[in-house]
Amino acid sequence: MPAIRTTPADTAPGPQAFLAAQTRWRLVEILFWLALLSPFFLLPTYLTLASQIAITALFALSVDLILGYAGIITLGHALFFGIGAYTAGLVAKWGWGEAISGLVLAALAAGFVGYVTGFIITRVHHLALIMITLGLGLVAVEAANSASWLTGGADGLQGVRMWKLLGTFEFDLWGYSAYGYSLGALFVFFLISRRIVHSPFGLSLRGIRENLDRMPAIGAPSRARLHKIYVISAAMAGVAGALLAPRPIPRSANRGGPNQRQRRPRLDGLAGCGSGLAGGGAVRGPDAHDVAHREHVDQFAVTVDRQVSDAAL
Amino acid sequence: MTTQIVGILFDGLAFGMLLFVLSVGLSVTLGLMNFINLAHGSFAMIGGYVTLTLMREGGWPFLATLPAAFVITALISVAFERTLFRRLYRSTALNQVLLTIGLVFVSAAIAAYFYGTVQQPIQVPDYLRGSHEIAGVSFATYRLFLLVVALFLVALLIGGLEYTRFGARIRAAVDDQRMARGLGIDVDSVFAVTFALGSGLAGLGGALAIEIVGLDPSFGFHYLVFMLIVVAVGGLGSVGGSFAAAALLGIFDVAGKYYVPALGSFLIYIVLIVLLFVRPRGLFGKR
Repeated sequence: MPAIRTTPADTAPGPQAFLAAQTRWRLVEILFWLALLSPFFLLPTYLTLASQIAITALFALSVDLILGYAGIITLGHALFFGIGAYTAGLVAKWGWGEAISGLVLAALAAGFVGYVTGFIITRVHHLALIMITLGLGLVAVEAANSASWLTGGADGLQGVRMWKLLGTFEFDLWGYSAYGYSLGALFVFFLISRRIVHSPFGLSLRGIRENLDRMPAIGAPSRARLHKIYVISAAMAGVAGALLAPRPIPRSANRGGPNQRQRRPRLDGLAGCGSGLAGGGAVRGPDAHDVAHREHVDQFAVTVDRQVSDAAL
Repeated sequence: MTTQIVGILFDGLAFGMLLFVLSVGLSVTLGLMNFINLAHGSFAMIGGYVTLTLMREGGWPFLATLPAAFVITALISVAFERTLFRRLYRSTALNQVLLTIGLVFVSAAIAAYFYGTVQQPIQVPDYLRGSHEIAGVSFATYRLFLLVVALFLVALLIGGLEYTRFGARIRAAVDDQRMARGLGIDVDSVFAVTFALGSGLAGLGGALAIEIVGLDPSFGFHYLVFMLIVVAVGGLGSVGGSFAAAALLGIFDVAGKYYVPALGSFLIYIVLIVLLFVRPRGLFGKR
């Protein structure tokens, strides 16, 4: 039999105090973030990998907002990752290689698509939701593959030239700037997510996850709240994708050569994300099937990641 | 023109029947236990590799390997059901999805380890090759065979579900699990048997699919999407719904790729999204 806890009114923390206690930084969190700077000194040859891990972490964070907190089970979030990656890549290709504004544009593009698809997503549940998100992701894969005049199709987007980050740091082969750029974006969006989930809005999302029908009764319109977090999460996934754009471009790249690290950099946004975690060993020939397949790989790797980022939050 | 349409309808229907055999088990188990088994495609892949191995190493004739694919897949699946899946029946959809998709990865890696990542062709017997010409339209013999097998299975399944005692138990458990338990039906063992039968059918489908779509370690991923579409569109736990959905999907897919190749693969996904948005429970779903 569960014990009934009676807290005296004077010791019970108020809602503000409760949220403030949750937002307080713990020592282990500070140490964790400081540790993320260590690759600059300890593993300077693996900074490209480290930046891909940071990108995947940011993508996982965006999935966590809707899946872990709001309870929207999605299999198609790579859609926004891809939109972000292509937006940033295309903008840079067309002559505007400024990195930070590229992120903003990618967030806007992904957020807009998230807003439009959100009307569908927030109206279906269970299997239909899983299948519709999966369907949206697959439509995006098909679209990116067939619109090869725009995206380069299965070969990936070519000719992306990024300017120096903040006019100072060049995106070089070593990935110093790339890791700093990815880590900075990850940290900023981590702070934003932390703020969101520990706000009254974030609490209402958890309530909606637990009981969709009951939350409107206590003044939280479920559908509107879900739509809002879906757009936020889509924009974040777009930023994660956009962080892929400044990949180093080796001049003598020939795909299919013995050294696969030297393969032509591909911006097949939908597939490229997990190369840090999941797809690390899965560098294969770029055919449509492969892209579709790896999209699943990455998406699910990210879902597993939820646990990790959940713990981090 | 007419012959072309008939040809496309026939090819689409044959592909649809293949999808039906692959996915009908998933539909029933999803409807019965609400367990989202994404590893269903892996069971189909097991069936395919069973047939391949028996034909290559054992020298079995093709037709004799089909029952073996059914039985071995069913046995393997029930072992998984008893040890892993049953722990997650009361769990959230996310945990079920994660466990079963993990199994798909494992199975793909195991298949790649033993058989390599290349497509594995098989040599079907002579009497299943070639084609028959009827009224100016040529019908591939293997697809005719597929059609006959699928129609036979539909009759068997509908007959079994509608007219046998065990079928009545399954239907009762799908409709209202708690009530069925209350009436003394052992839902767990009904489910174990249903699960084995459904996975066995997937194994049979995988064996039949080699000749049409090939077999490689990514089979479990690639056809999972088609299976889920069939199940979601057909409605959970409905054999007739799965049949109609599979036939529609097959015909749409083949016709779309033939007439509007630029739009080919979009078509089915867009149809899927629109259909599920309008009818979240599928075309024939009751619950």
